[in-house]
Amino acid sequence: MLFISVRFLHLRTITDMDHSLESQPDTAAAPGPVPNEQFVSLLARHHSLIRGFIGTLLPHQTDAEDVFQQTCLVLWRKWNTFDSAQSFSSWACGIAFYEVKNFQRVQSRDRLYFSDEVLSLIAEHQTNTLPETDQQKQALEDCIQKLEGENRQLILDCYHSQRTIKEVAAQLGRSSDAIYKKLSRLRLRLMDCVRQSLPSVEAGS
Amino acid sequence: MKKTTLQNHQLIQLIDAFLQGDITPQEHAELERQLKEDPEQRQLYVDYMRVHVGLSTWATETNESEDWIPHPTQPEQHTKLGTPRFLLLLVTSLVAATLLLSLAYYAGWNTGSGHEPLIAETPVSQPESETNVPKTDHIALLTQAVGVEWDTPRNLQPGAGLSAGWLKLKRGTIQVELISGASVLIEGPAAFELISPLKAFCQYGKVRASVPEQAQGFTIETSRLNVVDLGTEFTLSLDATGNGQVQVIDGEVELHSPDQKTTRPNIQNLKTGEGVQFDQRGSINRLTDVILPLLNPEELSHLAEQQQAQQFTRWQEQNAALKTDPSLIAYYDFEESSNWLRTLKNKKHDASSADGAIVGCQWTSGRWPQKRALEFKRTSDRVRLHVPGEYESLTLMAWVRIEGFDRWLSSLMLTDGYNAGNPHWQLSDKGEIILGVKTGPGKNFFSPVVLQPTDLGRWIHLATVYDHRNKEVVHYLDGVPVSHHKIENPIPLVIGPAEIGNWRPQEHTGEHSIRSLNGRLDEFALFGRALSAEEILKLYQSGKPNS
Repeated sequence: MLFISVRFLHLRTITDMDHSLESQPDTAAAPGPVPNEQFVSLLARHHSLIRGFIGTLLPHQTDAEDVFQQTCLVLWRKWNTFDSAQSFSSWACGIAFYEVKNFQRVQSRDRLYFSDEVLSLIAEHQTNTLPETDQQKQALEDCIQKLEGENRQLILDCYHSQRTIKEVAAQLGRSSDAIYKKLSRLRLRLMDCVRQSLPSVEAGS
Repeated sequence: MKKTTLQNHQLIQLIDAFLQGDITPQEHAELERQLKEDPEQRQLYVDYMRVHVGLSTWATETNESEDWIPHPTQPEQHTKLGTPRFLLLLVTSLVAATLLLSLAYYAGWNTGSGHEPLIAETPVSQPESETNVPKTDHIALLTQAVGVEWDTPRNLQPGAGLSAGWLKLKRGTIQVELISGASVLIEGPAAFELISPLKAFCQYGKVRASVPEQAQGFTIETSRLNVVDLGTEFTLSLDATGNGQVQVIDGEVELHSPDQKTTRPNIQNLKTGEGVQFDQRGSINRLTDVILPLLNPEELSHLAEQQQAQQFTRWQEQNAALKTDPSLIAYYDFEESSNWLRTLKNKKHDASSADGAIVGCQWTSGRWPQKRALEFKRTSDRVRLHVPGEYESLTLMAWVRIEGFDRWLSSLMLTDGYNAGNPHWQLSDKGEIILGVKTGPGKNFFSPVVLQPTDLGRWIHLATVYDHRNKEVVHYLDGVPVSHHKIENPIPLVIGPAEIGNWRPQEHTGEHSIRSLNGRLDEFALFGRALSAEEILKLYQSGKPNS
């Protein structure tokens, strides 16, 4: 990973304060040759959307994290090709999609990945609903808050901590299988909750 | 057409196996087949995976404590790479790397190997000071909101600090003061983005900007043109298609093209009374008529007063009803008749005891200018109580305006000392609501971090229910439950001598003996029963300062 401490830079929009996380028609002025404040701001505003898009294509968190980082670098390099009439999120997700494909090509020996055809279908499926993902993020957070404390704790243990599911299971005196099942049930429950809390988008038949 | 649960169940099983990395090649082929053939299954897959990815984001961003045992805060020595900080570093690095690259290029340091310098090899320096960065990056303050319906998940209230970001209104009018000194009235429907203390972007809506000398150069960008204020006041109104008009009320503004590459830097200057109309095709025409599309600050504050009066009346009705609730143990509405009174009356109907003694606190205004409140500022400020009796279940409720978290713990209501059955209701500096109950060893029920920097300076409604029968503790913020906690062995609660807004430790020599509140209180109630979620929501709704 690449960390350089740059204290003299004043970045204007880094945090995802609730009121700044809106799904928006992107409001970009002309991109310059060098990534600027605006790039930083747009990336900061859309990072969870882009990260989420990659996550639907690559289920392994570490893979997705790697590709996300790579994508950020590519976005920065290609910033001068960004057309301000475009939406930043679809531009970024388009690039992310190719990064996922590249990644899979290089990695495909030791793991099962989706074929390019299925990847495209999933990616395409999402392009219409990208603006909704910020709303979904909020809805998911609300739904998580509705869970019982112990379930939230389990999610934190499994998703955040450095421990493996096996270690989490051992600590709780349960089998890994039981933990996997529990997580699956929680995801389903949260998915239903998110679906219910968002306005239906079904149109026509 | 709806798929059967069974089919969905099968798809979820396949996705789970995929997530766990133990999917067989046959199962993988089956998963691919289903995703390829059936758009509905694809939707299910995407929804489910979004939850999965969302959970890892949430888990990284959340800083929920590992267990319920209180642990004194110590300055974090290590940097945690949660997503936001990670992003900050990444983004910072990108910009830094770019600057280095361009510097290197211009300084002729690029040795011309034909390769891009490897960014990953750039020396890593520890961002040690990052942990002490203040939590707020406010560039503006919301000072008025009248008749507002927000087009955002969160309902901002006057007093809220605003970071760079979008303000979206379905209707109503707000006033925003930027830290540069510029102030804007925004009339909905509007989408307005705060970019920096001197810059904002208007997608659509009506805006009236007042720019004092200190903030000259304040710019409102639109997709068609940028308006740079050279001193005092102008209005901008913009419809959803990008057509609009700019008019100078007083002073002078410059109009610039947003695309500086193709046009000369400024298109024209407008002086007092002058205005232009512009459309999405880029044509700009002088306005012949004087149109003032917006209300002015005086009208706004007049409307704000009217709105406040209505809300205050609504609260007074609730207040009268609340006084007759037989389950009330103590109810302080802070509506004392004189500044000289140092007794905080228990307003429960027929109350004969549990009046409070005011120590130090100053009288001030509450949720509305007409409403009274007590200000807790100094470490000696407090209200002392004596609440007799034993209560199986208890509900604590308060309207409070926190001005700052001065230390790890800020008191709401704590019993003197900490003896068997004593409740301690307080907030942590991270923004957690905590109920501690002494049961042998103390048991602390922490909510997740629910108070954000934007909650400082606004009136918030807090409630915590200790429910003996259902064996649970529930914390509420603004009428909404934010966490549920199981009580292993419920015991009856006793209060006795206690304090609002402070704590008198008995034989406590530890670090956290000072827990005074920095803020205001204008309503506080203790109920000898567990209020339901509906009741608490109702209390919030009829008491909230803005609707």
